[in-house]
Amino acid sequence: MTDAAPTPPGSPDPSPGWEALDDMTTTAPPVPPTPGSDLSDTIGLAAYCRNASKIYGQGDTEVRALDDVTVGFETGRFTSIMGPSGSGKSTLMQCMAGLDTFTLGQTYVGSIELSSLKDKELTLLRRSKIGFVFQAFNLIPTMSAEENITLPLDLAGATADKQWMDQVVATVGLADRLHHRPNELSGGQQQRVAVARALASRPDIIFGDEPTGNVDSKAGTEILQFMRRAVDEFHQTIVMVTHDPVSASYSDRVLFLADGRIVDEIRNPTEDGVFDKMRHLGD
Amino acid sequence: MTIIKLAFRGIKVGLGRLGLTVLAITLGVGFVSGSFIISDSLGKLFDGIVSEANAGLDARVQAIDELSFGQQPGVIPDTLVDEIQALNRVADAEGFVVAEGANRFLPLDADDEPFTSTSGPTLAFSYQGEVDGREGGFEQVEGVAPTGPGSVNLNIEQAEDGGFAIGDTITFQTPEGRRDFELDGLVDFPAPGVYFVLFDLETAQELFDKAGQLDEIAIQAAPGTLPSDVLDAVEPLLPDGVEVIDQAAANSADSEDFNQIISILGNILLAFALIALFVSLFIIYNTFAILVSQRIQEIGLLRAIGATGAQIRSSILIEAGLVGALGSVAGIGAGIGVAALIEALFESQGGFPETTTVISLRTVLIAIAVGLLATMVSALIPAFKAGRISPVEAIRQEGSHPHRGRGRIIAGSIITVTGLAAVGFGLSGSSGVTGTLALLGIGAVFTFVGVALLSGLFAGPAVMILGRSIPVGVLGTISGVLLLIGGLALVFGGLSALVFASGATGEITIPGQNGADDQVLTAPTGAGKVLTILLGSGFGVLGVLFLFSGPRALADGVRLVRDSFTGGSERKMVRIARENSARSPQRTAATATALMIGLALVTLVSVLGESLRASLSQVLSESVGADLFVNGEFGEVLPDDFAIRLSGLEGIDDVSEYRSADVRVGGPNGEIYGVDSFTASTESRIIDYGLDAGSFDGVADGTAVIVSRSLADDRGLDVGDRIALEFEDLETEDLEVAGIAGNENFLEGSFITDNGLFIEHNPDRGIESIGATIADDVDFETVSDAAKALADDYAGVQVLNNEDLQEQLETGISALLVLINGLLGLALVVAFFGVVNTIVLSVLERTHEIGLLRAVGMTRQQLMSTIRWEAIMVSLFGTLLGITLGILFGIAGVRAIPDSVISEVSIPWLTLLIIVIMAGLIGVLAAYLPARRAAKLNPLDAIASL
Ligand SMILES: Nc1ncnc2c1ncn2[C@@H]1O[C@H](COP(=O)(O)OP(=O)(O)O)[C@@H](O)[C@H]1O
Ligand SMILES: [Mg+2]
Repeated sequence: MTDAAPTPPGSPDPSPGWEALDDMTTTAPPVPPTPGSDLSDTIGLAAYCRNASKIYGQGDTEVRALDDVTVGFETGRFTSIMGPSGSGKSTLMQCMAGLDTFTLGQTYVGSIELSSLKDKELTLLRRSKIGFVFQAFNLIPTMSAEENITLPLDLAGATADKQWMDQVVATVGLADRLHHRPNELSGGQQQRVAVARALASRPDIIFGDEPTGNVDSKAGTEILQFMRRAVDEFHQTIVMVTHDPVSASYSDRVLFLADGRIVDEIRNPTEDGVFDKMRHLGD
Repeated sequence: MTIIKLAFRGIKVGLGRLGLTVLAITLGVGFVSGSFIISDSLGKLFDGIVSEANAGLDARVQAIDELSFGQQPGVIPDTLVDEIQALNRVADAEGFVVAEGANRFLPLDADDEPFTSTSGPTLAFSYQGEVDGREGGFEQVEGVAPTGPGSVNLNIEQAEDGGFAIGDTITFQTPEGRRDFELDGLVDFPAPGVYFVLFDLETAQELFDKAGQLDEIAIQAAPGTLPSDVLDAVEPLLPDGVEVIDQAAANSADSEDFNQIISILGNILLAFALIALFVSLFIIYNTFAILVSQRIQEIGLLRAIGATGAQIRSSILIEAGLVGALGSVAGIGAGIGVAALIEALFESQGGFPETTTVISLRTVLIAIAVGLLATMVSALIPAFKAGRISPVEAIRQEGSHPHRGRGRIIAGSIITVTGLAAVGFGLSGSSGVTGTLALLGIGAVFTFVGVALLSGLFAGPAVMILGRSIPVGVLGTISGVLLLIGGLALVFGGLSALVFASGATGEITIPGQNGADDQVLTAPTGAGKVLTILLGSGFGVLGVLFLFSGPRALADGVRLVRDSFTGGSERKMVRIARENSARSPQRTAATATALMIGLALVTLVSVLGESLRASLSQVLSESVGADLFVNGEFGEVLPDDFAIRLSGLEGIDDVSEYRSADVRVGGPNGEIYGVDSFTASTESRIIDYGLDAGSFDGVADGTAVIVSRSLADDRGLDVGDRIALEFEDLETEDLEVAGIAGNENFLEGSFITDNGLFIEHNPDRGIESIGATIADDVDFETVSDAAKALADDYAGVQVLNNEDLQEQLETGISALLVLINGLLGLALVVAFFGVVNTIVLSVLERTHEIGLLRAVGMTRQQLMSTIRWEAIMVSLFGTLLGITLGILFGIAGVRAIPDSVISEVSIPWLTLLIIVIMAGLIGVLAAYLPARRAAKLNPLDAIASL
């Protein structure tokens, strides 16, 4: 009876609001930008991590993929993460999404601290509070698009809210493709199904690791527009890794990662602004 | 060279994946080589016993045992010994008599009950010791040989078991009533479990009713005389029907029976071994098919850079060859191990001379050839498929979808139709019983292969239908409960065995049931100890596995049943499982097929057994009117006066003696038929002859005969016809056909006469059995008990009432079924590994997907649950296929077996239900370890595995 609608046990502790963030900013030098510092009090954080590091291997082979990162993602905003290959973007996504754990530091999704959770609690959390979109192969080949979309709900034994489903499906523009299997869908359609699945359980936050990385630019644009609408219309929080300044310009804020640290950020980015910053960082 | 390197690399990479395949081959080959080793070793053992017994014998005089029609068995007069002794070429001649049958002379124990061996007969002989330094015979270990009418020797095993000591006066139950003998000596003879009672020659002749006769004369040649010269010298002295043979002929004559039994045993074991191996073909095929499909991209790449299709094909076949060789060598090892253990166990039982494990070159060669061949043949199709993979496949993202080969469908259909045609042709009944059964066997093999090829077509839809929540959930729940209970029992049993083996418990006394003696178990030593420890640990480990897998299956099963009504999440797990097994129908089919074969055979055997039981009980209730049956415990003839004494009992209505012999129709080269003889009381309720036509008129006078229906049809006989029957005394009687017996359950193809006429012509034929009816107005039990008490006066005579007989038959049938199904168990074990194998490979194939499912919120428990449901569905599919074919073959078998043995089809529904539940158990157990491994996968690593 564990897979009935879960209420994952979490630490009662910190409210992911401003107090916490203030607290964080004081203890989080040397990263210059204080995430969300100019946002109004009314916006909380859907997820954040504090002094988080991820170290792979040990001794000679030790790799510090993330180095004392403190970052928060505002509720109802669309955040992009950019940075050179190997800078730790995927690692950050995965650890914050409860797919992996930081070596040091704390992570919160909503009010729940992740590092103390056991596998089962993490799984239930992923199922109900977190959505994830991978770069490719997001779907179970034996299931129809619709079944893929409702999978997290089905796993929880919950029934989909019909109205919400219709809305998601309409937004994603796949109403006539619902009963197709993944191999009958184009790459772009498959990614849209994946985003729809992430949306289906109305999670606190959706992470996308280069969700448009594997599709052509037209399909990419459709996916980005869809994510944008999800943020604007449904107040969904989305965090996305991307290499492409055009993609990044769809978001509200871009964070730049290099060598496992957050090195810069832009608010309300434009394509050119991101380009500039990238060139600048490259120096 | 590159090809070989590739093959080796394939094995190294796939070692984990090939492990279970190697195990399957090992089991099959192990059983094959074990069968050879056991029968060779036993053969050598018995040859050893026989040649030891005949060591001091240069020639032997004996009655010719193969008699032609009408030939009287020869009699050796005891005066012949002196005549032979008087020959110059003979150093020594000694006569010898044997009591017919077994358990005719039994010592009484302290409770005045006949004392018998639990594992063998008690035989009575005249003493034949190591006289004058002559080797062979019985070895006198204590006391002296029996001399005089009141003296006896026993073998040491018997004396120890029964607590008899030298000097004791022992009362014996003999065919002539009770008699006292003094125990003067103990002997030893290497025949475990067999008891010997030895008298001196004269006493034995009197007791065995063989005054003035001998059964054998052992002859020792004079020094320097060739045995052949002895034969020549003895020959002229012999009466009719008596022969003299040399030592070699004596050895082979004595070991003939043993060797026959051993070779039958060996062939039976071999047959089951081959079945297991046949099952493993499907597993090997499956493994290689999966390995090839997993390596499509790699193979495509190799093709792209210039490897030819033939090279790819060879590399797969070489890989198969290596795997086969590995499995075969391990299998021979396993065979030797098992055979050695069994022999060690024999030895630790005592009594057996030291046995040596005989591993002949033939055994090794056959085992390796069989193992290699099985592997290569099964890998052939996957290898050819691999050879046809095109370079573009390397580039394709999604592995190529297995197209439903038209060749497979055509081949499958042809083979299935051929198989069914063979079965049908067999049933048409034109080829005799053996021919029919052979056709059925060949038909079955073809049908198995054909269905295996075709089952891929309907595996998908079938699983979609079978994989419904409720049946699967109920099966899971039941399996969970059984595993829980079984696990507790196994762990307890295992631990008890270990404690017992350690000797900590000392002796354990098991109170005897129904007044039998208490059995005392002492801690085992030597091989027994090793075996107990092995078994104990095996049980323990199995129990732990049961206990780990049971509760989860139970919980998930209950949840699934509940969710089927409330619409909870467990239904989704079943859906996922269903899709997974339907996705690779070929794999599901091959796995299911392996299980199908074993279970089809179990079903077949159960249907035959149940039908046999039903037929027998029908015969007993409908064709047999007798309430009491008297026969010899070991098939010996009955005492002459038993029927008279029985009919003297109050409440006995009617008694009939039964005898049988041969008759010849049509002169010296005529045909031989059976003749059955009863006390032809025309109103007899003892046997229902089912007269189709005619009457009993004249039968009792010896002027007429009843003919069974099939014989009458055969010879075109009708009521009123006359027929000349030549009896074994070569006298011919011209008899009228009085009636035709339609009930052939006992009387198929024979003539039925009255005892009077029969005895006139066959004075030496004894009574084989006696039937009696009990009057309606008396108490059945009282009369039945009185009759049984009567039998106590005679050694080796048993009285059974209708119920006892039914019970005895059922026990016999059940024991046979247990034995056969136990041997088929190996095929099931192999098939079980096949299911595990498939699940392991299916999990490997879906690693990426499993990661994805875990990432979007599938818990470990849910993952294990989907894998378990998948395994249950595959097993269920295989089981239902097996049961279907089994019933089909069973019905065919019943039709093929003559009606006199099995006349009606009866389906053992309870057994079939148990088999279906077993499918659940197999699924749950097979899924456990692979599922646990899958659940431990890190989702991110799993996703990255693409
Ligand atoms: N499982 C792993 N084991 C060891 N090192 C890893 C592992 N995953 C990532 N890394 C290392 O961590 C660093 C960050 O990787 P990643 O987060 O994948 O970067 P990005 O997604 O920004 O390209 C890289 O140097 C990478 O080599
Ligand atoms: Mg990355």
